[in-house]
Amino acid sequence: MNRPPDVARPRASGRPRRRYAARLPVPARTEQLLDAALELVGESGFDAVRMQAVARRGGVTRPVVYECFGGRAELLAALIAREATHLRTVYAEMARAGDGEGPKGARRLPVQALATVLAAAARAPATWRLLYVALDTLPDGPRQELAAARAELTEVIRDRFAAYAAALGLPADLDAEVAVPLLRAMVDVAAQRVLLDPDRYPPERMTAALRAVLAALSPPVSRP
Amino acid sequence: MSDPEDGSPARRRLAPADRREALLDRALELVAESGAAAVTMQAVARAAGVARPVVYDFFADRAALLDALLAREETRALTDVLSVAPRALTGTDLGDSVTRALEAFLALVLRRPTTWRVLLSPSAALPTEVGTRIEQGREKIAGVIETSIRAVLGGRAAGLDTEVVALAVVAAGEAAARLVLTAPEQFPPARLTRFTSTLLGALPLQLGTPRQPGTARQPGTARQPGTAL
Repeated sequence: MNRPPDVARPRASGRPRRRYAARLPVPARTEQLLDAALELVGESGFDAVRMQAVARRGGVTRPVVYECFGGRAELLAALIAREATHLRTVYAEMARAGDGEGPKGARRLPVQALATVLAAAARAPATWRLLYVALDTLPDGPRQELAAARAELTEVIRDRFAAYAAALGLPADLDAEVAVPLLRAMVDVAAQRVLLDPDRYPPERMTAALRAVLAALSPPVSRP
Repeated sequence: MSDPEDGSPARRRLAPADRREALLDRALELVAESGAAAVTMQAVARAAGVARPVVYDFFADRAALLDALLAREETRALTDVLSVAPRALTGTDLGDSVTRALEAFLALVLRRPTTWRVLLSPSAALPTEVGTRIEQGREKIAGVIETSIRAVLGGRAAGLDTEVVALAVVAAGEAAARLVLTAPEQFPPARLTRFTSTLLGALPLQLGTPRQPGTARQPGTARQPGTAL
């Protein structure tokens, strides 16, 4: 976020002026403080998200944080609501993988779906870390919302697996209840590597590996 | 050491090495029953029927005890996997090899369910060093699997990023183990091996056609016609 440089203005009291960020309208400040809170989660978990810590990270005083959020619970709820929306936007894109190009499109589905997740993880690592951070210190409401948002990734995988299996004519008795958790685990490990060490494991490397494996295991063109 | 003079088996005077093992056994049971948070020096002492100082004779503190426990369990698990992986992943039929490897792996998971439950549980409740240790164990297993993949594929592995493939195989294997451990009735090992044989049986495994390496493309960019993916 672009902020104007911190310009010290004279004060009537004559006390040395505390350095803090330039004044922002409340909606912009809210966003900036949620960014600060998200950073704290990524570094030290939800426990680290305290009004004082968010103020310090955001370069403002505590009252400024209270102007935007009634308290810690409200801040965490706002954070999870915002981040869950970001996750769901990516899920929606992932749910379109392989659409509209017939059997050929379906063949590209797994790589497209994985690429969507990994591009999002690389673009917004702090958001994607929320899929893997411990939830136990989060208050009930946001915890349930984040748990639900995490679980929805599995549902997208379930849906795309069914589309892929149908388009490629994989055996109808292929056990989706087994396939889906295995696929989810593989998506997770790829995303975690991208988050952990993006230089060594860039998204393109992971998708290239999947593409090569699928090419080697290439099933016959779809049966009607 | 001050064992109570009670003659019950749990409180019998044990040689130090045996006592240490017994304490770790009790700690493992506690983790299995109630999670790592339940492992305190006091709880382990109580479960083992010894006084708390006896536990301190062997472990400086709770973290040291958990670390020793994880080290032991990880060694056991690793030894098991390493004894199975190279043998299982041989043969010419990939589908058959994968299914046999999975079968062997799930059998050894079920032989030490508590060990695997601990190693595969989300590591949030465990100290960071323990999480790091489990991560290192995972890397070792991934290394062995990578070697096996190279051995099975031979020259055809040239264009394949076997490191990444091995990571995916480890993740899938762990997910399979979790299913078998957490819902044993719903997911007997036979259900998982049936899945791999159905899946891989449906594919004409054209392992003889290596693709060119380094052809990664961004999604959405033009692809050559006729390229599968």
